[in-house]
Amino acid sequence: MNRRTEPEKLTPPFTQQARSPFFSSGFLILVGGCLALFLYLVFQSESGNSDSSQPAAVEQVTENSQKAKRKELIAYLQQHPDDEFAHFQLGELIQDRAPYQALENFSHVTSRHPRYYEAVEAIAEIALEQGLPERASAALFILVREYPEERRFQKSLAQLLFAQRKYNRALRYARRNIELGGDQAEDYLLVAEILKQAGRTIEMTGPLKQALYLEPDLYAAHLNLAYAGLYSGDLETATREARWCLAKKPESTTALRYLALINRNQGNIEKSLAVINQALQIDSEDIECLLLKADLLIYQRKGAEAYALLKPLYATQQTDRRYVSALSRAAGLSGKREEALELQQLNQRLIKNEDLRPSSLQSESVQKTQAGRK
Amino acid sequence: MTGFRSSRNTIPVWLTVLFSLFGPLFFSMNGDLFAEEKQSAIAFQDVTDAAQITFQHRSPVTVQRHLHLMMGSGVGWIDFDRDGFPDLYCAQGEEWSNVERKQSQPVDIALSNRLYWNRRNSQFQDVTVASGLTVLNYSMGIAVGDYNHDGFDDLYVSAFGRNLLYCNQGDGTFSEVSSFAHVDDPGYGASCTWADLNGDGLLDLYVVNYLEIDRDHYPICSRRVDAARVYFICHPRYVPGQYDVVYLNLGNGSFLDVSQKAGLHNEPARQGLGVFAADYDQDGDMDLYVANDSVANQLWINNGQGVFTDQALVSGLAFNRTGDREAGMGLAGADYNGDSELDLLVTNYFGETNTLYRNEGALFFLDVTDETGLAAPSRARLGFGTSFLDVNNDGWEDLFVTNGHVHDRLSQLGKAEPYEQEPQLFLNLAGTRFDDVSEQSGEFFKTKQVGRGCAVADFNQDGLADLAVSHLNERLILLENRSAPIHKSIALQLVGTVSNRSAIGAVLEVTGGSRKMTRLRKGSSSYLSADEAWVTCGLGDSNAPVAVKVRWPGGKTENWTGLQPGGRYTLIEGTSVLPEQPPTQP
Repeated sequence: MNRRTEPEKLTPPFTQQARSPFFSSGFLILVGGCLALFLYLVFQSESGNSDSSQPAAVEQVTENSQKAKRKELIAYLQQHPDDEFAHFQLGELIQDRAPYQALENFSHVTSRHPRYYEAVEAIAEIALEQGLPERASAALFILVREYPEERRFQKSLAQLLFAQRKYNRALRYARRNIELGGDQAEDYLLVAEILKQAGRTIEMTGPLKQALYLEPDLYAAHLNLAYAGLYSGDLETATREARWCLAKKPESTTALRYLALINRNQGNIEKSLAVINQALQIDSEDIECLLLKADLLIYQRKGAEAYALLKPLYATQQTDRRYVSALSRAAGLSGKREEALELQQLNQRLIKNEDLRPSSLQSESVQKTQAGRK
Repeated sequence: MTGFRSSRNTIPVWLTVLFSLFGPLFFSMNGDLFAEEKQSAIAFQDVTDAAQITFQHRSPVTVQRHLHLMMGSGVGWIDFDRDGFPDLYCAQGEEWSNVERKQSQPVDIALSNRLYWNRRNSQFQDVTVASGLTVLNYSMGIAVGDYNHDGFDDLYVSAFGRNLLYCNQGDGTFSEVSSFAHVDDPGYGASCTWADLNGDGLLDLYVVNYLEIDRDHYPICSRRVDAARVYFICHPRYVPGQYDVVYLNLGNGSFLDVSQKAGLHNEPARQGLGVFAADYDQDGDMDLYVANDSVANQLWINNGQGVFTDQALVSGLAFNRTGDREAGMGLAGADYNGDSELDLLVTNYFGETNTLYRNEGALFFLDVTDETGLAAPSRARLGFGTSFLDVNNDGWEDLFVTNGHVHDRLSQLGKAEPYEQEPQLFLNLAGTRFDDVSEQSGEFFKTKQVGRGCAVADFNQDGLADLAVSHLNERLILLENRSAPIHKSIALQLVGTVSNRSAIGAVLEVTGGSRKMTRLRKGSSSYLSADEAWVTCGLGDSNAPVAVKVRWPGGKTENWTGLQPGGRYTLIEGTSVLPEQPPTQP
């Protein structure tokens, strides 16, 4: 361990001092009086700071006592490594300064122990703080089972699973969080964002409207609602929300892109191009905007232009299947059939890699049954 | 008298002045309003009961949600008696438990595929038993074509299990010749089509197979939700695909399975559902586009000898614009934008779009779904059957899509995707965009159902294209097109002599006035379904005599001129002199 041992920090024991005239009793009384007066003045003048200085002292005392306790517990655990309560206590003591060690200690607390769920909660907390999603989710799953009515566990688990791209499970807990009383706009926004990433865009509208009811100026909700409207064909809502976003943030390339998409869906290809060019003036490297512009050019049979726009991005975008597909279409349209084929083959390889990820409808069990049985 | 006369004389004077000032405006407004009203007057009426069609599809779901029970069955138009009026063939499903029981039980006609004879008075008669078409299996795809050149259309039915070929005897009956003809593939057949694949003038068969399912070891999928096990049909990506089959017509009533030789096994088997045969590279032979479920679609390009290579990747037809494979259910093909090239529409899964591929020529296609307005309306639907048909005879092919999910208990899995869904009708706006006119097109389009197949025919010969739509576990619906007949159409039947007799694969270039329209004599299309053999082509504003140029399979072209709008004509290969036939359309 990298901690200093207690003796290193202790003051040396009493030492013998030589006597001097300054240590006469009168002198000592005088000094004592001055010191008392000085302390009084300091106390009076810094009465505002007294709150902080006193706890600091208390803290120091506590720290010292915790150090002692830690030392004691460590020593004790060396003799009794199976004492779950000692592990729990030590975990609590060192959680802030040695989280990984604390994690280890809390892990020794088994489900038979009365402090087990406190240990699990601590594990979840530490794992979340330290970026250990697997350990955090394992702990949170235990907690949501034990405390199904405890909203914070549901929400944390939802956020965690969302970050892990486990959308269906994330959605379950995000919705449960709301059922249990989560009534912040962000609770609904979380549901909407999970639905978006899960490809269930059509279902986003409800939670987004609820989020906006709770917080009418929530920008992210407006932007997502524009997307949801665009996706589901409600172009009126999509247009209104995209314009609202642009009024708030005129430089938003995402809102501009949505406007361009709306125009494309309405068949206004030229107008769509104009809007996407406006977005590209703000950020010429916005890949989403570049892809949309290429798409529009391809539709207009301007294959060479689209190809020229996309080709320079190959080095950075070659694993993005949307990019690869767009470049392939541009190549094919401009007569580069060999390259178009190679790009489609690359796309196929990328798909194969993606297939290693579980599908949303993948069964947990596939059985083989006999014929004729219901 | 005088006063009356004078007043009668004066009114026209001021009326004349008024009319001369505002008359043109008034008439132009009226004209516009009238035109607009007419434009939107698309109307389809459910006439199933009136037509005495009582077909009820039966495919009851099991607790364990066996996959094939969710896929439904097709519908096909076949003029089996050659009276010019298309008859209706409906494919039936089957209970899972019947697999073991049916052998010992008497046949219940309600559980069989059905043939409805068109009695020409907008009524149909069930002639299933008399025609010998009683069958108990889980029927899927339907292909109609005259494989033996006897002048009568025959019937091929793919199935979850052994496929069946019915030879039309010409006397109103069919005989089942599957074994004799060696076309009884036992796989999981989906869409199938007749097409001359080796250019010998005989119709060959292409059968799309879906999944490799062993009935004795059926894949069952489930998930645990809230302490309960929820079963749902397995995702096709987790069940192996099955190779499609090519049967070559030997001309003696039998066929030869040449799938391997044809190159189909040069790639891994895929989960196929839809097929559309056409000469995509315009080199005079028939190619095939296959819609695969959740894996890349295939474009089998024919080398002229019946050997195929998949060129879907390079042609842009394997994936959608973002490089994603989609769920590929049904297929429709038409020249939607009037550039004489065959464009393709693929129906896909909920959350995906139905994808429209614009043919750029030189075997290159572009996904133009978003720009044509088809993306957003299809995202919240799971499309199956689809057909291009010109509902208002304006010369632009409109689009019908029937929808319905494959999962009936998604709510238990926390998903808000409806099982029953409304069908959709999109009006083609002069080849630029499609306008969703479903809400204004009749009650049928407001009814949620589990749609599967659909097929087009002008069953009552009124010059307007009608529709038959099959549903999973529900009634088949016959929709009569009762749109205001602003424009006329022309109905054309092609008869091949050198090329296949059904002329499947022939391309028609129909010129009426200044408009030139390209139509295709299709094989099977949509999802598991077959349109009628007659090609009904709307003529738009033109009332001028019509010229038709036919490019027969093989590449030979012939011209017919002087055809009258509203007429019905049979064009026989090699006889470019117009047969004496009076127009019959009202």
